Amino acid sequence: MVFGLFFATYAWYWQQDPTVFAQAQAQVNTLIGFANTLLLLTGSWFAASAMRQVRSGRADRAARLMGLAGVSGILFLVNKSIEWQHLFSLGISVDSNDYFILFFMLTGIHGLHVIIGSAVLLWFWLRLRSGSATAPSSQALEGGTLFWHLVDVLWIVLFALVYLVS
Amino acid sequence: MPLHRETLVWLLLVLVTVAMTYLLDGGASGLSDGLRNTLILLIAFVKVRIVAYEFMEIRFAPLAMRVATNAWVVVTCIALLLLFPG
Repeated sequence: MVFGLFFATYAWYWQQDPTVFAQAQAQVNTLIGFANTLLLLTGSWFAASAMRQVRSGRADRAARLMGLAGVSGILFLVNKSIEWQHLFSLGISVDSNDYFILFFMLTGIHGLHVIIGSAVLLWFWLRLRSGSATAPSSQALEGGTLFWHLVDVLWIVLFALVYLVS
Repeated sequence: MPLHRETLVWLLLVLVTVAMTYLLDGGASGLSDGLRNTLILLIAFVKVRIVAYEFMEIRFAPLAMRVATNAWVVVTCIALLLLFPG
């Protein structure tokens, strides 16, 4: 719901000055956004596969898949920090124009969710690999992976809005 | 070895993402901006619904949850389509 309002806010500001948005958008690298989309989709696939293994009672396989899902999130963040550093090196900052205010705000808030989601998945990996006695409850696993898929869903829309629509 | 359902879903999402980015990025497709934007948003929300129904397993959720999910997808998509003129 909140992100729905964020998306609408972006679209509303875009309407006010589409030329500035188009010029600013030309400075961001679509390839990085594309790679990050593939990383999050793959992370979601790992997390969904991990849940199937959990339900089959294969904690070792589930642990590996949860770990891989967490690594997808870490790679996303590395990619994102490279992108931000590149933009800063071009002299672009948070207050350069309306596009970049929204770009840094939306991708920054989303990035915080990626940090939380990755930490949760890596915590699941640690607990699952150390044996069933320390394994998180199935409710915790369901909740954590659901959160991760939600992070994926939000990025799918953000990628379309911030990188592609012009 | 048969592929699991989540693997087929992942392959579909990756293929759609690759095709969407290749065909619709940068205006190289020869489409008008309005049509291009409309296609980008529609495809994005189809992907969102696939993730929700398959990875988030909304397809097994109670009716109210399924209705709420579909309502969010449809309302947000329509709002954005209206805000980005076609």
